[in-house]
Amino acid sequence: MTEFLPLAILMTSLGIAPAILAMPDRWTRVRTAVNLAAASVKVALVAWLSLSVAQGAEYAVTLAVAPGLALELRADALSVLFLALSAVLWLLTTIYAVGYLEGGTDRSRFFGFFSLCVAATVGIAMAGNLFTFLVFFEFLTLATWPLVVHRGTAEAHRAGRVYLAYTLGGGLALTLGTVWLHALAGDVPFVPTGVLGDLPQSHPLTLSAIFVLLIAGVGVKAAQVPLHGWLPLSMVAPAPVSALLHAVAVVKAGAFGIMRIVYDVYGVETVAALGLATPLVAVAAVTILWGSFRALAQDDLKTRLAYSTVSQVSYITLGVALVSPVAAVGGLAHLIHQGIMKITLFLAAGNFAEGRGVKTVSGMDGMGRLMPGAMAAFTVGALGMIGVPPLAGFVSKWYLGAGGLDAGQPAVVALLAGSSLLNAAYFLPILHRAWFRDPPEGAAPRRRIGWMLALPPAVTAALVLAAGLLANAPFSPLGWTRFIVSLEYL
Amino acid sequence: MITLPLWLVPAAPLALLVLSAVPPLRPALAALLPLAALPALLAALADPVPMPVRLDWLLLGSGFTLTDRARAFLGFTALLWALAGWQAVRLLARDPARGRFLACFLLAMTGNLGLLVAEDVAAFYTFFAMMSLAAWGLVLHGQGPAQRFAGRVYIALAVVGEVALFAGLALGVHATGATEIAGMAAPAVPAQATALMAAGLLVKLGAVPLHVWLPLAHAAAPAPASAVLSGATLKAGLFGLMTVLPLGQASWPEAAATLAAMALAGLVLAPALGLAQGDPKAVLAYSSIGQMSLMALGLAAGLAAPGAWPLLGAALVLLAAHHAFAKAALFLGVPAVWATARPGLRAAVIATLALPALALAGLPGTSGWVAKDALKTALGGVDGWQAWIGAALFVASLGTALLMLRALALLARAEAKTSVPADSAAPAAVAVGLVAAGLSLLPVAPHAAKAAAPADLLPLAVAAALAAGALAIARLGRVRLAPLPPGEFLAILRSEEPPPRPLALPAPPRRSRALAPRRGRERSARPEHGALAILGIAAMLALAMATLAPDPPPVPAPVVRTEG
Repeated sequence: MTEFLPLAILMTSLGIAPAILAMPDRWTRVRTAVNLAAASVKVALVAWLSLSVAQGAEYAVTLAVAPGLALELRADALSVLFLALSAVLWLLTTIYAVGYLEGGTDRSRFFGFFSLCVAATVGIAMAGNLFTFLVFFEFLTLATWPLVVHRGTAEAHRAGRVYLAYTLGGGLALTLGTVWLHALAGDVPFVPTGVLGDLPQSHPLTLSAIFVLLIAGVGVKAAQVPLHGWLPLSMVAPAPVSALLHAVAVVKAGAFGIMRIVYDVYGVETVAALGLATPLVAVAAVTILWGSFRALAQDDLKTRLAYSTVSQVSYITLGVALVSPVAAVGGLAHLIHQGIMKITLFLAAGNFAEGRGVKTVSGMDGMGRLMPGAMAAFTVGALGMIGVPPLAGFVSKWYLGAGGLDAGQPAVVALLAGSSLLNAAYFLPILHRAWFRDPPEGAAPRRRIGWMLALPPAVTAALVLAAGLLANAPFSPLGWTRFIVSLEYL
Repeated sequence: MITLPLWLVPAAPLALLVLSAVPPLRPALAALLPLAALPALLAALADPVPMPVRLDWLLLGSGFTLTDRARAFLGFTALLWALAGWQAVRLLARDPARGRFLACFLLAMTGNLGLLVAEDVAAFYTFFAMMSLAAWGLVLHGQGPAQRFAGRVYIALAVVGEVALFAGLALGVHATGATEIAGMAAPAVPAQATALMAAGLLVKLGAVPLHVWLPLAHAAAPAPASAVLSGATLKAGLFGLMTVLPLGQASWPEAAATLAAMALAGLVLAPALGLAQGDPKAVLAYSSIGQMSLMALGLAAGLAAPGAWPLLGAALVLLAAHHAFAKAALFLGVPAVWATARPGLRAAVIATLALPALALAGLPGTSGWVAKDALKTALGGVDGWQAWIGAALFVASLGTALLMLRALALLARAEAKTSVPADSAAPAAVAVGLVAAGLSLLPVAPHAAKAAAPADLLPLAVAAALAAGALAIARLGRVRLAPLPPGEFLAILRSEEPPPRPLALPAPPRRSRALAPRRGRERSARPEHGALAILGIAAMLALAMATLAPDPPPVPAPVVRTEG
């Protein structure tokens, strides 16, 4: 039994991918049925897994690759956090993608790699040691590339090349770091509070160098400044891909990697003792401000959202790097909160582009009247990003602020205040245009938005509201992260 | 005996908002709009006081409670929202964007009523933010250039205020460990935290120099929205300050001096700038700045002389309730004036509105006189202030009286608008009736009645003389002064939108260069005016706080981490 669940969850996405890739493009119904069935089964399985893990059950599967090197899938509380996010959002994004790509070309290729991409995140979430993490992390890089270049335009190919150059470079750093750490410490399983024992005392410099390599490796995907250049370019991808990239798969895999390395390889106390926590806070702070600052001057809606992601994902890094359980709660909860908020924004932005052909901020005039449902969802997402209560973003910010004070760094409150102001400065003008300006003369719908496109952003917007409004209820993202943090800060 | 659950106070307008998402229900719900404030009114009048409610699952663990002070605020706030809602439904009956206005209205109402009953910091902040942001929609409703400019200034200050409040609350909660909003007045709260919270709340109160949004917003918003903005939301700022400032505890002379300086500046500037306005609603807004400055003066006195606070607090509640009703009656009366074209009828309407105007000016026998007398008595107990407080209060009364004359004169000349339905006058009539009945004074302890002294009439008499003199000079000398542009010093920033740029040609194809992420794809633009406004005002406030802060004590050493 303990081996069944992790494998089953992995196979729901990994197992169907070859079948979908092999299907002829015109088998729309079959493909959609398989996709949705798999995604629904996965949500159910993950729900089962979360309940069991909350009751203290343990799940592990090990496959020895070579002596001293094993692929291990394990489900702990932190995995469940990421799994739940990816399972729920995979289902919603699949529904959306089916509607979005209706009548498009190469759909089997798209959905096949879509499944592979999600399978990779499942592997990353459940990786039980650093080696397994590395394998799935690289797998994710390759599985995402066909999605980025899906449209096949010159622009898409350019973005794809930049994406590969950045992420493979990061992968190289991660691989080097992993090999080096293996040479030093043997197998590196993920264990709360770290596995290095007394190595930090004997090899502080080596371990610091390895830490920098590892964090740089995952930091590319987490879009930490100055490694963020690929993210705004990847906006050429279709809307569901952008949504997945920003909310679940790539960016989150990077942020999740930072968590694993800090919490479960080194242990947050060790990171602080090695003097590496403060530089990491500084990187996060610079990223938060720089991302927001760059977002201000983007007229392309998706590019503006992309820079916003650069900024917001660093909240997670910030929460991890501030050595404080309160900040950790904020950072971990933001993994979920940022995911549901950003996916809402991207799905809504996709609807504006599909329904009205609007892709720029300056074209948003009157959108509240033209597409009230999508715009309402966008509004919820945007206000959440600013940190307006009672939405999800407020909860993250509240805990991060309290955590900064708890860690003796009151400057964090100023940082959050500044970030909120910048967020307001680049989101509120959009809301003003959409709700309080008249639509341009002769605006005509480009295409009817069916339920498959309209429903997912509405659901995620409701989740944004629920995650904030019911933050203190059991099984809220906040409640779950408190549970995780109680394990790390024993 | 039915006990009213307190959560119903904010939940009632919110439920109406949620239901209005169903289109067939909308007409019926619009008619119910004034009733959304009914639970709040019942809670304020209920005897015994409704029990506190604890909702652990809500936000970060929230609760609702009704303190005596909140009860008084809740009474007049609920009544005002009901009256304004009534007029809004009538006034906007044929407005195509009515749904949007009513949604913002209900959201702002939820926030305003909710913050009065919120027990914990998160709930208070939530409702406060809800009110501030939703009011942006009320200001922007008309969609003209004036609204756009007012909206920009409003939202910039509101966002900066929200962020300051957030930072202050976070600091305060961390220092005390308390999660109740009432705990933010504890001595353990660091001075910076109090300063930040106060900055956020003073924006809402409209204290000089954070007042710039106020005349613009009040002039730009539809009349019922101006009525609640002025009557109720400004009072939310006062309520917040009365809650978080360490009043009645130790004396804090530096803070008192800063606040008193802001208040005195407001008392002088409000009439000076307000008299030069050409829009009656802007004049009324400046009068609100003056009145709110008077209340800020009361707060300053409470910080300077803790012993005087009990009396001051009661006087401030009286003054707030009185001003809420009187000012709301005037704002609600503006559409009543627009609806009347016949000179005789117009004169009758103006004469009716003269009652709240006279009450604001403190005519003996009115609620205004009672409230101002209470404040005067309480302020008299502050040591060291006796030398100038009398003069300050005289200036305040004189300024108000002049502003009221100016507002009524402008109203009398206002052009009739055929689009305004005549029945939008009814709520104004009820509001005037409430002022006349002195109902505004019901929820608070009665002030010891005192006979009016002839000196109390002096400001009114001087104002009348000055006005007559000015009128005579203008008539004889044929002087005509152009009214000031709205927005004071910000007016220079007011720019019309640039004409849309001609369609850009597509960028020439680039040779693909794999590692040139900045090139090509990104279309950079200048940030929006609103964005610049937010950042500019934030920078100004940060600079002001950095220079003005009377050496803040160091942040307390980090608390030892709680294990587990």
